[in-house]
Amino acid sequence: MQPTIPYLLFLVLMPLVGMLFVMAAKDDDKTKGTNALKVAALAVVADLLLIFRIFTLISLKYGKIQLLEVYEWLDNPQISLMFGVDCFALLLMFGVHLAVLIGLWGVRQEAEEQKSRMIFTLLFLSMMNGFFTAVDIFSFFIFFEAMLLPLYMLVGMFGGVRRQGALFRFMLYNLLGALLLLAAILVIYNHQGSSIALSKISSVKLGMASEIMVWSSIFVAFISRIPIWPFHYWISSISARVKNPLVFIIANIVPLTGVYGFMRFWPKTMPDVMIFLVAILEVVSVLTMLFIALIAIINKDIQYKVFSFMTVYYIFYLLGVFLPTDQILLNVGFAIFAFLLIFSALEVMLAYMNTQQENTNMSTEGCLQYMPRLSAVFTFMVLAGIGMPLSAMFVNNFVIMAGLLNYNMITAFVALGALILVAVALLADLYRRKREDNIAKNIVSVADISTAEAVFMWGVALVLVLSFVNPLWFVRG
Amino acid sequence: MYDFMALMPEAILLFTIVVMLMVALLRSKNTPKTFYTLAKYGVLAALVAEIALYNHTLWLGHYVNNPQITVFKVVIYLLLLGNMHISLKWFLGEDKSSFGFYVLLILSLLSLVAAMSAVNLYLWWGCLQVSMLLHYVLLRDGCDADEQKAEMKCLGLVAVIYGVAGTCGVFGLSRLSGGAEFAQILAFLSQTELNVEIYVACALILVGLLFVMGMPPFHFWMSGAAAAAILPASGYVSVVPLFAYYACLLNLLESVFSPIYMVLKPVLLIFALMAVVLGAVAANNENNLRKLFVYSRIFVMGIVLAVILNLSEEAEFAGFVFLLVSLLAMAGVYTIFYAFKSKGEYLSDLPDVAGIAESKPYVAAAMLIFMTSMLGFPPLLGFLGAVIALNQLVVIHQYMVVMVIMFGVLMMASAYLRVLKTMYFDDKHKSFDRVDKGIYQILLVDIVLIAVLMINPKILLGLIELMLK
Repeated sequence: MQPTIPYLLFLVLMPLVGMLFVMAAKDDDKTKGTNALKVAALAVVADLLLIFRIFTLISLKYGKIQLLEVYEWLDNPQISLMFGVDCFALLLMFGVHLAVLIGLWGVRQEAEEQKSRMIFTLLFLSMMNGFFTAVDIFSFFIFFEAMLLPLYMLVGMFGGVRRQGALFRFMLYNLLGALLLLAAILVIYNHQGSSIALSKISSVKLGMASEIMVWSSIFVAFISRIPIWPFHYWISSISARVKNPLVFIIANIVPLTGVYGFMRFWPKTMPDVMIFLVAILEVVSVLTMLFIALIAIINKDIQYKVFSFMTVYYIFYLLGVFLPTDQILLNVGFAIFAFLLIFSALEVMLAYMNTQQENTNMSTEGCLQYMPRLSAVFTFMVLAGIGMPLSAMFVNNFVIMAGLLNYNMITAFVALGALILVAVALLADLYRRKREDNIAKNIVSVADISTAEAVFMWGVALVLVLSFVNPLWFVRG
Repeated sequence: MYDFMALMPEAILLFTIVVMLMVALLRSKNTPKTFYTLAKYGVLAALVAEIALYNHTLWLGHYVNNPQITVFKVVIYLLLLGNMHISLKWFLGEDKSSFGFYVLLILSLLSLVAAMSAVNLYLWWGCLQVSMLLHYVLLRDGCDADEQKAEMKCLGLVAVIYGVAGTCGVFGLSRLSGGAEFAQILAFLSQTELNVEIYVACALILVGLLFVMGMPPFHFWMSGAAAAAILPASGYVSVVPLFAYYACLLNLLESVFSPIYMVLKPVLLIFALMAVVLGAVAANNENNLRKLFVYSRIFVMGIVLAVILNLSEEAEFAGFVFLLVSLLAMAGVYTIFYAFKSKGEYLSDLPDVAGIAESKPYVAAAMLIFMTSMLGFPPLLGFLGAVIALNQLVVIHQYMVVMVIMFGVLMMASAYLRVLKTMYFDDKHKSFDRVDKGIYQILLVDIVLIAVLMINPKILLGLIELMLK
């Protein structure tokens, strides 16, 4: 039965409505883009409130799709937009919205082309909402592909990526994945004679040849979103080099769509054709983790270190998704929620440090000594990021790792090694930034974050601590 | 036996030309708007007559009308009206007489409409050749440079060669079957044992038609001519006649060649795939925007040809929808070309429009919408066409064709991304003229149309399905 109030449709439309308001917002030398930013932030906050409301309406169980909304679209092929949520998808949406909000905070001083940035950000957010609430194959595909355009525009216009060729390849690679998914979906649709819910896709039985074709296509489609060898370079050459914090956060939310896709499509009881694919994926995944973690150790660029941190954790969660049990998936959701917040906060703070360094010619070494407020919150985020008991990542990573150890000892140990390496890389950088003996005495004009900024960042930290205590602290019962 | 009422639309169009001629001769103070207004009302009146008389047939066996043909005609009329409206901006800006242009457009419309209704091979082929001649005259109009003139001369010569080849095929097949009526030829091909003579005649006709359509490998004339011609002519020839060609091809394959279709099918599939690959690859090597979109048109026609190869009702419907949504976007792109103007000159080279998004954000945004729609990106209208077309191919298990089309889409995406990159990411090095309000209005109408049809495609699809079936 269709719910009386179409909450999920509102959730998808809210950023689009916000986008229209941003388009109409006054943007001149006086306002310097603040109107657009405020409207965008308001739209995100409104969406967050809606998410809170939805949390109160649903049962907190993984995989139980609720608040189902169906909007008929086409008769032949029979395509309807079907929205629904479970606790897991809603939690990820919550995390993504908070991450974008942190990103908006990070770009609030930028006056140039703020309007366009906000337009594409809200468009992206709307597509992400559609993606997480889609419960049938066609709805899923529509939003899976539609998010690519705002992503391309954001990275191209504001990412500061100089190598346009890499951006092209990144986009085409993602588009190839989307097209393969479309082909696979059409085959499944014609086999079934109707659209099919994501929860039932794993039970579809096709002929051997079709299964190989369909599952390989789906496999490549989702892999195209995660920086796994041999295609990691195309993604890393973009995602690691984006200069703008908001765009960096958005570009690095995209791998989440691949992990989520695997989670929704992948059957727990695998057909024979897939055992081989999963085995390959597992080997390639852990090797990629190790490889990227080693580069993080060697590479001096903190942007790359954060990217490595994210990639290693995304692949770690992907391995969690492949565990043959649904029990662990909610743990993956809790961990990703905290992870999204941590990397967003880190990126915004790093962007702030970079600006200060550019303005004062200050060296990275010991730079945090000039900014005690930033130093405290940055240290908190790094420690939370490496898995200290400060956020939901701690317990849930532990549970996922236990599941991995139980499933495949070698995979688990290599993954653990990669996690340790990436933690070492982050800690080493933190140490470098905090070392007292590296302070250059003649620099005096470095500005620490303001009280408002500190309050905002500690607010994020508080959310993380609460997520450590109870990941669903904001929901009664 | 003869229902002359069926000729009412054609008579109205002819009458419009006569009136335009009289005005041109007798009235001294004519502006480009004068002829536009006359042509517009003439075409509108003909459109109304066309819809009202949709099931009137002039001469059974030679010139027929039916709901299916009427749908195609209505689309062409509407596209022509849009093209005429936007062309006026060019003539007003250049302060040139629009008389010849609008007369040629109406004559071209007449020939295309007649070709769609024709079920007589002589009439069918004759109308197509007249349309080709008119398009040649239209395209030649803006060619002032010696090099362009020489190119157009060469094109004229090649067109004559292909025209003669096709004519030989038409006469040959008519002679062999003892008549030129489609039904008569169909009966002949069904009952006779097929021989080389028949195959050669059919091949010559097909080659002639593919040349007129600008399909690879007979496409070489299109890009150069479209780039050299004046913008209104280029826009018209690249967009409007496609539906007529689609209808003529379907008519030929279903009503004449169906007995030999199994032989033709793989050949046509090769042409279709060639169009997809060549269109997409060539677009990547093109810096001239008009040429780039000519290749895009070739790409679209390739997909349409691949989709309709099954010749089922569903396939024709899918081809129709795909072509319609692609042309809606392409018409938008050609409208945007009118906004690419610097110091009074229309820009057609890609580097010239670098950074246009900075000063003309709405124009750039419209281009973004149209191009992504043409790529089949959800949630734009192009997605509807892409899903229907690809689904049709999956239904008949043409997976290899799907793969080739996907490759083509990727290549085409690369070409479009280059355009977007230039418009949005590169630095501006030219000042752009103020864009006419009329252009914004047309773009808005096109975008609203795309949005409305996307949100509720059932209105459009239901109507098309009803008429086509």
